Amino acid sequence: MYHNIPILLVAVPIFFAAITVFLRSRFKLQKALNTTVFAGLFIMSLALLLHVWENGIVVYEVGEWGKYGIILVADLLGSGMVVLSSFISMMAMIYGQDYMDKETALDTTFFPLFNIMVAGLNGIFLTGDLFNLFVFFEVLVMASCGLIVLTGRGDHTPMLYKIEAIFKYLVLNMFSIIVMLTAIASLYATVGTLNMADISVKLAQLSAAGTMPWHVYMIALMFIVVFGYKAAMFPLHFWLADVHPSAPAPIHAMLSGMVIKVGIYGILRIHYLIFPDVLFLTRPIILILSLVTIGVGAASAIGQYDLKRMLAYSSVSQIGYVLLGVGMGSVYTTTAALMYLVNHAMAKSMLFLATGETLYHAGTKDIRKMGGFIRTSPFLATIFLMGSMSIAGLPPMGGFIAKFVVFDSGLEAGFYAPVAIALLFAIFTLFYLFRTWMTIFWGELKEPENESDFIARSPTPQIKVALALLAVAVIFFGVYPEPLFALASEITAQLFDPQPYIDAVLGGQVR
Amino acid sequence: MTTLIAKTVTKACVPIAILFSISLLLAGHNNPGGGFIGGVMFASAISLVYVVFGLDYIMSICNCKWEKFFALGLIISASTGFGAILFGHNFLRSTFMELHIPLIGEIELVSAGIFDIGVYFVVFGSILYIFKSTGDDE
Amino acid sequence: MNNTLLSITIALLFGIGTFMILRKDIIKIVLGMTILSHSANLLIFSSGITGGKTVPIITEEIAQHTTGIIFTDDLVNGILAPIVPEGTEMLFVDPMVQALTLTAIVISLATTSFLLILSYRVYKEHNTTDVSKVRRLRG
Repeated sequence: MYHNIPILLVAVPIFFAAITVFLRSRFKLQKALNTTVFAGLFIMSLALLLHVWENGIVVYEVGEWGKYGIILVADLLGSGMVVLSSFISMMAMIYGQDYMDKETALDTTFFPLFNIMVAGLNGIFLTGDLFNLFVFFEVLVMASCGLIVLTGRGDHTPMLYKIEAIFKYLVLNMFSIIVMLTAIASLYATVGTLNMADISVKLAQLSAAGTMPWHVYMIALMFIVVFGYKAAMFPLHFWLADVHPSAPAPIHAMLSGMVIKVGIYGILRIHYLIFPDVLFLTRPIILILSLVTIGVGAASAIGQYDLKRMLAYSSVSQIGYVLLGVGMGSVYTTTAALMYLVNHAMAKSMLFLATGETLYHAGTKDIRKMGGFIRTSPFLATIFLMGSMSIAGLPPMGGFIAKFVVFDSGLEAGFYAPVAIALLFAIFTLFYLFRTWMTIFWGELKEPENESDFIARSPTPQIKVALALLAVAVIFFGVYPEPLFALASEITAQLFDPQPYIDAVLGGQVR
Repeated sequence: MTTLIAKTVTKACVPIAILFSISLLLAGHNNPGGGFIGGVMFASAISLVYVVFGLDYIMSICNCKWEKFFALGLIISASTGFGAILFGHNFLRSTFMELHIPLIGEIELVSAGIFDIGVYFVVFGSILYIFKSTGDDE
Repeated sequence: MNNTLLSITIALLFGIGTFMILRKDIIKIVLGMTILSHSANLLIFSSGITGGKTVPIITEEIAQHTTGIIFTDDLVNGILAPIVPEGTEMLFVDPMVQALTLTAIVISLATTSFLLILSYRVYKEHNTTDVSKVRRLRG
């Protein structure tokens, strides 16, 4: 039965996306059905991760075509990312059922598109085929475009702005996809296969024979452009601050929590598996650009008064830390980057879900018009504080461990100047997050006579459950990070030695 | 666009185009053709009707919910995948069966054909849904 | 197919597409994206085209008379894989490339229709297709 889990993680959401189209007007049934499906996906992904941890890599040949067909490979990195995305998407789904508008979102496209988005994410993390990766990218992007236009109750972005944001997102994404297609076509013309393990073997043969064509280096750099775009790396980060704040809160949490991590996943997968010989060129590029990303994101976040926009720039800055760990390039730093990725995904999605409720509570998205909400909603204040502490890197939250490990590993690998720069901007992060928290929740209530209005706009129990579960996860990985650290070390070991992956996929068989 | 010539030609062409699309769909597993091409053919035939007779006229006869066809096709396609799992094979594993029918002769039943039918529904459902909702928007 | 001619065509399409997406008109941007994606499709397609080979449709006649095709999978269970192992002479053009191009075309169809509908909405709301007048998101 474990054998079938990788395909079920992709196919079940697509199947239920179709089912939910037929159940459009039956809201209660849809709520129960989707919660069950997402809980089921989470349990399946957890079972898959444990199975892979115990028994090694699971390879699934769709349609039994061998290595010439599409294969799904669940190694530790892929299945770990699937567990993370399933957890966050389950929370976003539970939250979104109460948050989204009933007529315009829940009864129309929210459930089908959310299912397809999760299928795209799971497909990206599990696929072992380069072209299939491109297809799932496109599935993910089209679904998220459809989700950004939907409206929720704390979403004060007019439809016009959303359309403009999607137009930008889609055009830029199409451009990056064309770059990716060009890279895939050139790679296919070079080695004649699309299976990632097979490409890896053939490029290694070319490299060993000393006949590596020069355009392979160009292809590796083109993949950096593609994944850098997805991950909002510095020269390609400008779309994020327009697109992400336009989305309603659950979608914003998914976009900032998981979808930009897809770029990191792509860099780790493609460059460590396929282009290990080009790493001498790509690592310094990622390292330098990550430092600029940290700086630009933090500096832009300080000047923002729009809460969602500020947090979006904060995402840019934080993704820089993950890229910093990847770019420094030793085993320990990559482990640190993975830990940072997990902690940031959870803390940031929690923060965004809390932000959606805060904006609904305040009735505006301007920070300067808020104040004193700790009296009307202590729950939101606590959650927001925990999220800010984790992002800023204060104990006992998960973000502290993550930041500590990144800096420690950087010092151990001898990157003193990059760590110093990153540490400086970590102080910036601390400053802008806590300034925001204090402005929103401390001080005088801005309109004292409206206190009952504010209380009426409090989170519903279902929303509180989603936020509380995320908060528990954030604290858990702060006080007990050993399992995460063990998993991240094991993933890094697999990344630096892709031979088990190649053996599992090709399996020594002729076909 | 609603001249008499256009209406007459459409009345003559559309049934032929629909039949041709179905023949493309059924030929798809061994010969040129298939679900995607058949679906696009069907969608273009129906959109010809939309263009010539006008949206309001069609809506007064039948208000087709094309997105339901889209979802139906997705369910059919996904079900063929899950069907293979039920038989103990991998997802989307295809198989075929030679069937001898008196008077007609040998026909080949292919499980990929059912998948193609699903694709057919998905393609014409999505294309016509796009056409209808953009044409509807005032 | 003359490879030089094909490369020049692809390069020209890339150039035209890049020029078009740098215009200020929304429709021109969309058309430029379409041309760019078609040039990428042509690039994929070109990687499989070589002269003197037949279409990759395997009829019984070809299957009997040629030796270059190897069906590596189990024929009894009905699996036919037109796969040529390394070192054998290839008789067909690469069928994989055509499948890839078809997939890429379908995806670009979906994206282009989405973009066209978006630009239609932008035109309806703003009464202009000039991107510099449309821009509202700042900060």
